[in-house]
Amino acid sequence: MKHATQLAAASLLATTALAGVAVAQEKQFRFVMVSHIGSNDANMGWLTESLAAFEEKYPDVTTEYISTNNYSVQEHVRLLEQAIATRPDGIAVPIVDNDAFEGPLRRAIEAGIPVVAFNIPDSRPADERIPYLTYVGGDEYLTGLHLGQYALEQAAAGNIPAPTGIVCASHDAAHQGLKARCAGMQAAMEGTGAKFEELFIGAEPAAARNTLQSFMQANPETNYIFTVAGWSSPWAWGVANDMGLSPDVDNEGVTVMTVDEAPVSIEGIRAGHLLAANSQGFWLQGYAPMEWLYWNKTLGYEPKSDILTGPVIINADNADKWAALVRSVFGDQEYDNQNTW
Amino acid sequence: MAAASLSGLKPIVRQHSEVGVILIAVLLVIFFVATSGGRWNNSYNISTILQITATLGLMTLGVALVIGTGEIDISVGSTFGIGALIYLYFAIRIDPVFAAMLAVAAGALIGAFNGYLITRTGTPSLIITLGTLMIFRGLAIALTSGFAFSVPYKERDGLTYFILGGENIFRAGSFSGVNTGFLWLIAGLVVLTIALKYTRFGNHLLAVGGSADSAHSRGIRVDRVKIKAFILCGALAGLGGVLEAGKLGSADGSMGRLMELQAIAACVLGGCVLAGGRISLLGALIGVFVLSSIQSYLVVMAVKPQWFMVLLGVIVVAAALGDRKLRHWAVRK
Repeated sequence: MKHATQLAAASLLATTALAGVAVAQEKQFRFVMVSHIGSNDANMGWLTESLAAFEEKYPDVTTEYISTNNYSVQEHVRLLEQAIATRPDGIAVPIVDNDAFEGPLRRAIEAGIPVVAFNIPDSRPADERIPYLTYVGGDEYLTGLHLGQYALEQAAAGNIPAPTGIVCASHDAAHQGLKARCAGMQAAMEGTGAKFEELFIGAEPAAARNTLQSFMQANPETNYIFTVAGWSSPWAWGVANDMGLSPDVDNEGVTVMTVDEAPVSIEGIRAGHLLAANSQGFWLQGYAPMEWLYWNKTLGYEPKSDILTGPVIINADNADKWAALVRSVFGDQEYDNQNTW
Repeated sequence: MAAASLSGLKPIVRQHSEVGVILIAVLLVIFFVATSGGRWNNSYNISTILQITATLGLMTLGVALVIGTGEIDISVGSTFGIGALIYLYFAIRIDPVFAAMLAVAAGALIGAFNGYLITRTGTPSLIITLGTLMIFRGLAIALTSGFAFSVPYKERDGLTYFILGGENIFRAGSFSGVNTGFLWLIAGLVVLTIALKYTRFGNHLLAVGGSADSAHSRGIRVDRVKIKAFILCGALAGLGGVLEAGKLGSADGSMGRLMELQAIAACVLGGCVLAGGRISLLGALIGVFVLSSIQSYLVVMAVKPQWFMVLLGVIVVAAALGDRKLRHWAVRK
């Protein structure tokens, strides 16, 4: 009993310490980012780093980052409700599901808590959407579309083969943003005559590789693989390589594309394994919502349109510049840790 | 003197398996109130905790019944998701009441399917329900095809939506009220407690869990009792899904994922013996409240997500160990 009590006490004390919440600290504002990106996604670093940079610039603001590693809309709404319960001075949240988020967000806005949507907007027309201040983020559909168009330009230039079959490999079949990326890629490939398939591979490496390998065996015409998460691109390249499909960037075999300005994406491009990725301006998606919440609280400003932070194509020509930028944000050690090639 | 008065508590701890979890809940609430600076103990947050307790609690009541028979049902998370999807699909196309009944019936059917396979084939319930967990999760993902089933916010304003978890009741001043789903939980607890303590079905259920052979020799139809428990379990998970969908207005293929583990953890915390024969419905519900409260505390205190699961797990293990020690103390002479 004594040990159990000590263990429980230690856990709870650690909880309080890890929370990093200095209740006694005198901060004027507290903004909360309720994110869908957990610590198992490299992109969380962009957001948490940008929040830290924001706090440095605005010392009267405390920022908090709340997320889960077991994502579901149900879980996200629960986190949002609990974040609202703490009565923050502002909330930044991706609108993963309009219908599920509308109730709690409307109640928060009615209670005087300003809300900025980041990463994923309310997809409905402006007069129907949740009355948040603004949306800061990329456009998922444009991400797939621009990457597809870039691949076709490269094919036309003879740098890679023309598409005969495209698979969009997704780790989360229920994520509308990922579906939109695939839809953008599909739109770009329309008119090429290539067969387009969307494949759910999951987030577990062994199962994902098995699924993809089975698909490639059953669909030998597939020569473009688009992974909608940067971290799954080495799995796709590895499967194609094991199958002898020449997945490096050249004018034969399979071509692999991915997303995000993550170390794994950038290093894949620099190593010649990946054709391209994109940046949707993740750092800005953390920083800019906080700044708009701050300006709204202090000056009453409200932006009059959405603020698009991407997509920007990352390719062999600019990958070195992106590597330097990401290293400056993550640090060398973290950058190397996240490079899984 | 103090030792003697503590010894006087031993019979109470022995007779009521939920005492341990009640003690844990009280200690945690005191700690949360003392350390959260009002972030945990405000009406909005308590209202949220009670809403989560309601839906997870209904599922947990069903799991506790199955555990009472000496079996286990780990498919309830998927059943919950299927219930939510069926409700949302038909609520907007036909009628919310019909949709809710259909969702509960579907849950009961999944339970019957589990129970039938387990009793007819003699395959362990862990294996069968692991299979159906995957079947119905896969079905949920396939049905939604990456999109959500939903009822738009503006259309969720009728009485039926209100009753089925869509709104809070007993709002007063700054008090945010209680989600109507919680009333369903209370009703479920009362009905099942009466059934368990004062009906032949309850008697048979615990007898089967205590010793299936002995129950069989006394003329109890063991298979039938087990199938009934699985049906109730599925129906309650389906109802939980309806109420969660009523609250969110939306459900995707991941709805209810991993809730089965929370339900089983809550049962164990609440004094249910996994081998069967002894359960405490009230204890299991307090177990749900403890889990929901811990999760909520970690969120409102902005614990970094990479530590969230670790701390939750450590606290649950510590709570379970504490409860076990307490029971050992109670049976010691």
